[in-house]
Amino acid sequence: MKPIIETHGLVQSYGPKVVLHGIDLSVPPGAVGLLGPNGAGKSTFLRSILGLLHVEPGAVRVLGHDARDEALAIRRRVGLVPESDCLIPGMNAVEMTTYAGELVGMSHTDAKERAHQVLYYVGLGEARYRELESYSQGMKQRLKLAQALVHDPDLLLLDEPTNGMDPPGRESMLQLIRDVSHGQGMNVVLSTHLLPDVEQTCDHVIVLKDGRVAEERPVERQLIDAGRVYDLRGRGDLDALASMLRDRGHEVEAIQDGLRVRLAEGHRSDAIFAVLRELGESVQVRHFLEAGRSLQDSFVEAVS
Amino acid sequence: MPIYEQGYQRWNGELQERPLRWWPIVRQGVMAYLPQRKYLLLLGLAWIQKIFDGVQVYGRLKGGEVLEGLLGARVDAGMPFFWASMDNSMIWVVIFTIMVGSDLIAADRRGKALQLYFSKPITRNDYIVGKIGVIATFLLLTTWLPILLLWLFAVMIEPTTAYFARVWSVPLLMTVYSVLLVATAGMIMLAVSATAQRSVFISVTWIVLFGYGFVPVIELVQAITGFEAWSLINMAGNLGQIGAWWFGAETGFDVPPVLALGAVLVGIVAAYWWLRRKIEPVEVVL
Repeated sequence: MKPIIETHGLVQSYGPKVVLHGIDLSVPPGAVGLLGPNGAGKSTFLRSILGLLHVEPGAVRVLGHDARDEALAIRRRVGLVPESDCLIPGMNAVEMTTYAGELVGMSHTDAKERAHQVLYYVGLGEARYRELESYSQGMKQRLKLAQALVHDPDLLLLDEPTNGMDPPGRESMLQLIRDVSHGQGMNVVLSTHLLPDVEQTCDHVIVLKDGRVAEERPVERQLIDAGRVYDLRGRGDLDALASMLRDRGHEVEAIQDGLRVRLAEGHRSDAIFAVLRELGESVQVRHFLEAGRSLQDSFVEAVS
Repeated sequence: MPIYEQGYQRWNGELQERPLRWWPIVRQGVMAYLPQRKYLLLLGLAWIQKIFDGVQVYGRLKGGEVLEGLLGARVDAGMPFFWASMDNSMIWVVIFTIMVGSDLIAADRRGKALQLYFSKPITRNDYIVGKIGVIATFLLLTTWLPILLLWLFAVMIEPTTAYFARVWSVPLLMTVYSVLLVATAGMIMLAVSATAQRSVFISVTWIVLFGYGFVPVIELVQAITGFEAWSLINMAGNLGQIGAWWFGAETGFDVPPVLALGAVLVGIVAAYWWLRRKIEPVEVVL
């Protein structure tokens, strides 16, 4: 699959402070989470791919366009949900969404028609003629999503879209994101510091830490290495057990009071029990648990 | 309760390749003000002033001898008359620039809307042109357009070659002058609007920077030093000097009009430079 975003040695700095340290990335199509603690460089990364910050030629390509020379072409095909409020005072939701559509290049008639459609979609149908100043935080977030969707972009960038939302609002926002990405096939990059948001909506995750890529991998809703890694604790001749398992091609490492066994390709937990049966009573197993890493483990490990 | 009332629908329309990307900004800005009653009222008053000028044109062209007899002086509807009409419109330039312009960028900055603009295919220059276009619309509606109609009225009621030969350049000069006027007043206003956020402060600062605030200082300095060049920092005065020069009327200062034109151009460039610095697509918080 052709990547939607490619960066090669992307460096960004604000004055003397370097925010992105030579990022090399290839972001696959689909829903991708950009995960990292505050200050990791997530927003700067999004600004770079929109061509809002200076980038070297060839350093960033988005949907096949160079971010330095074809920034406007990129912005025609991308919708951004910014992190901060970003509202135009004195407008209502229909006017603002229509205006957003016109700025991208839609005709006034098309933009207005589409504005009603997306406002209903994000759940602001009834409130679409209300002054924006009276909107709750959740409504403002939905409006930002509507203005980003108005021209039906090929790529939707969301910068902390659930910030300041109450649990039901957050859940409905995540459901909308999941729907546009998985239901409608739109490419989505979700920048957030909230791990559950990524787990619920994304297929792939990129973890940023201090302006560097700390980890990049698919989001497994199951444990990684599910059915292949086991922690085993017990008493007796654990060295003999480890030795026999290694002889049969499995990887074994010592952990506190026991062993971690990574089974060879094509084997299941039965392989361990077979060895235990051979050893008889010389080994007593007190604890036997599947031990794959969750996304949470991975994130904590990457950013700690 | 459902989260949304209908599913997401793809849009199959085509985005327009717009050479004038700033046009939606002008349109939105104008339509935000124009339907308001106070703006319509002020536009009406500005046009009433021009209707009086129209009556004057008629009187001067058709009742010249009567007026001459009454006033004891020769009256005319030549180039200086059209300049005087423009000069009298300066009050509307001030009113509309302040009313329309003071919040144009300040409101976007208050609402953090700049990133909304710049996440779309809009450049900083598109944004600036769009915003100045809003001011330009109101200024041209109260100065350039009515004066052009006034000129048309004059050449229609006095369809002689001699009169036309005297005033043929009015539309051209008026257009160039209006561009200069809009660029000066508008660019300075946008520069201030991009710097401060409170409308009252922005309005007062614009009045000072456009030149009216400098008048007492200039007069004082001139009285002390006798040095007329100080008036070059008065943009409104410089514009008056240039207009009077182009339309063959008496100039207000001793400073050469060419220098005044240079000062105005420097003022426009400086305001534009400042404006570009203040309009950042991203707000960086470290």
